[in-house]
Amino acid sequence: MVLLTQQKKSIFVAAVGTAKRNECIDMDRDPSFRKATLPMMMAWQALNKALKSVTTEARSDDENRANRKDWGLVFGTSHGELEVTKDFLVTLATKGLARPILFQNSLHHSTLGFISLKLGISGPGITVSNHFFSGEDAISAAIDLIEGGHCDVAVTVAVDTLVHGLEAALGQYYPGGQIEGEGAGCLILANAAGLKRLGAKPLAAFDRISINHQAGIGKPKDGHIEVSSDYDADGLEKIAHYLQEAKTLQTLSLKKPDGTSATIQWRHSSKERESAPC
Amino acid sequence: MTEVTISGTGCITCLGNSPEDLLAAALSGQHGLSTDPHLGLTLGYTNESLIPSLRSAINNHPYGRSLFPNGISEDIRTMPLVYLYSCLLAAMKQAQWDHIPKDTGVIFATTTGYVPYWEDDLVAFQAGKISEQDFTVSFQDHPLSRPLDPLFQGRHIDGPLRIVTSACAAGTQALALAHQWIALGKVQRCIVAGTELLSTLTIRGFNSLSLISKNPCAPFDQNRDGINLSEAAGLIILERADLAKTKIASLSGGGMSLDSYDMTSPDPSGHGIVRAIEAALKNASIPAKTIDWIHTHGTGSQANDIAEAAAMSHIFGSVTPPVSSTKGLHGHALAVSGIIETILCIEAMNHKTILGTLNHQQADEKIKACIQKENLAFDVRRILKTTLGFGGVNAAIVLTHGLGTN
Repeated sequence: MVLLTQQKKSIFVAAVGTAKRNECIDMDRDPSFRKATLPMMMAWQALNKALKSVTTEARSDDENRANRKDWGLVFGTSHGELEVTKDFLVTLATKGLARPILFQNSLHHSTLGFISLKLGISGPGITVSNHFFSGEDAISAAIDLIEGGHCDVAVTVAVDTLVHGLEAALGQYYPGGQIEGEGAGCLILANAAGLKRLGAKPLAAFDRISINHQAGIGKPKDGHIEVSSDYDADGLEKIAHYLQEAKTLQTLSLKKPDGTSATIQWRHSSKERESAPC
Repeated sequence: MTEVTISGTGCITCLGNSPEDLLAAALSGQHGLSTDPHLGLTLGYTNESLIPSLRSAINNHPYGRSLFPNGISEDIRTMPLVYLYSCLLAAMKQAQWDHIPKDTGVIFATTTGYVPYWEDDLVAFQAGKISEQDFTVSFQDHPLSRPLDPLFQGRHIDGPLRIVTSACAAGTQALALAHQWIALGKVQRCIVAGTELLSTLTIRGFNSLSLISKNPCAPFDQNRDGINLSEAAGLIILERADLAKTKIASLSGGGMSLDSYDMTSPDPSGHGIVRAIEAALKNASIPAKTIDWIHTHGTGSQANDIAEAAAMSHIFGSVTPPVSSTKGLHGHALAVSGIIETILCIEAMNHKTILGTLNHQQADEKIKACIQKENLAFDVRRILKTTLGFGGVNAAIVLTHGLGTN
């Protein structure tokens, strides 16, 4: 069992959001998304939902950008921008054309750069890619930024998308011919000072995130749910989902395709909300 | 705050395959770059012909055998493995480790991972020239964490693993995060490592942005015309000071920031880098005036050098400490550049030398920082190391002198 993070001081979940591919149809009609990739659009949709529940976001664009200037930003993905990488390489091979826009969008890190530009976030920013644990590691990295005093608020987004024609290659780690899924999740994390700035009541407070490199995750208990992973970076989206939907849940065990697992524990009660600083 | 010691290093680069080789080449002004006759671009390739002997050394090493009970095969796809574990064994020897101690974490930095091994097959598969099954096999090492599997699946490590892929700033970010992990007691020790291999994607991609020079790069020079991509592997062992048996330097702190300015170009005002440096100095609890040498990202691109020099002038005023870049020696190894350059900084500091900026003749008139052209004998006590990356990401760390044995 490897402990990714264990909190001494409370790190709160201030807001959550999730998104799927079908929510991104026609987004490229907006000129600011014309050069955006699917992971960028899905990340934006999940993030936008989370931001709507932050009361200090109700101001003008300029005020919002100024307010977010010292926020941290963490992005997690396993596959990164594989669709764009494929397009760059195939266009180069078939037409002899290396397209700059495809290259600049081909990095795992490109989505973080895009979000930073869109929102005006200019605190610390990290992109992580830890295969099946990319979502969990994104949360852990965001907690690290807050605990280390680098920021009071950290936006944490994780996305993985399927690539047409590469389903078998992407799903090779999944058992029994299961096709890997896709999705996006967002958590806005904050310490007590950050919560106050956001004007948000916390949904929960993280206790610990651990990773088990051995198979088997024990028997579910009360307030504990065990689910199977359906895409590599889904840990963050799953947590966002259960924080919204299952008010008594306090431990999520996420079984990975190779038999390893992640266990995420949080305090999720009305008492936590009442004791919050705002 | 807990003192964080650097106790071991290892590297494989186009300039040399040990920290001592790197310094020797830097002191003699000998670079490791070459011009690709087909592309007409100057790049830094590692010496692939060394792979059989490196692989053999791992397979015959007592700890290498415990990491790879069946040995590393002769498959060419093992290149990142051979490089990474060669660096690990070299660093462990310096740190006086015969195994990886308990409570050790790993932070790994890369942007491309195994891309060179599957990019051609991806194109061939799309063109119907190879089967889906063959491509799936080729693609199996796509996850960026793959080179770490022997450590974790073999249970040689009991601490956390993080894969940082924040473009070219990843290596320096990894060091800043490792400092925090140890300083805040998350782990007692941390291995920071990275590998980066040249690929069609990176070479043709950077070239599409007109960023690669045909000549060895000339950072901060008025006639600079671009960067030299290179490949490398590097590894640094960090330990809580009271636990380290060897001490070659200290990592005193780190800071990070985002420009929120452009997807590829840094903010020319340098304000983003300024915030990363200020955060690093604050984290290290030291004033700017105690910095003896600034080792920059200094890629030799128009935009990078203007932004970075502006940041140094902003922080240090009209008379900056010596500012230099060593990219003219070893090129730009993307995510690993921060690790390789930190190793070179430590070697130079322990040799009482500030390294100059190879190929720099006359500073760009817009650059006001004091660019160090030649190597300079100086008893360096503190170095500021900066790194920038696509997506407007910046990272800075502070290295402190501290040679000795506990």
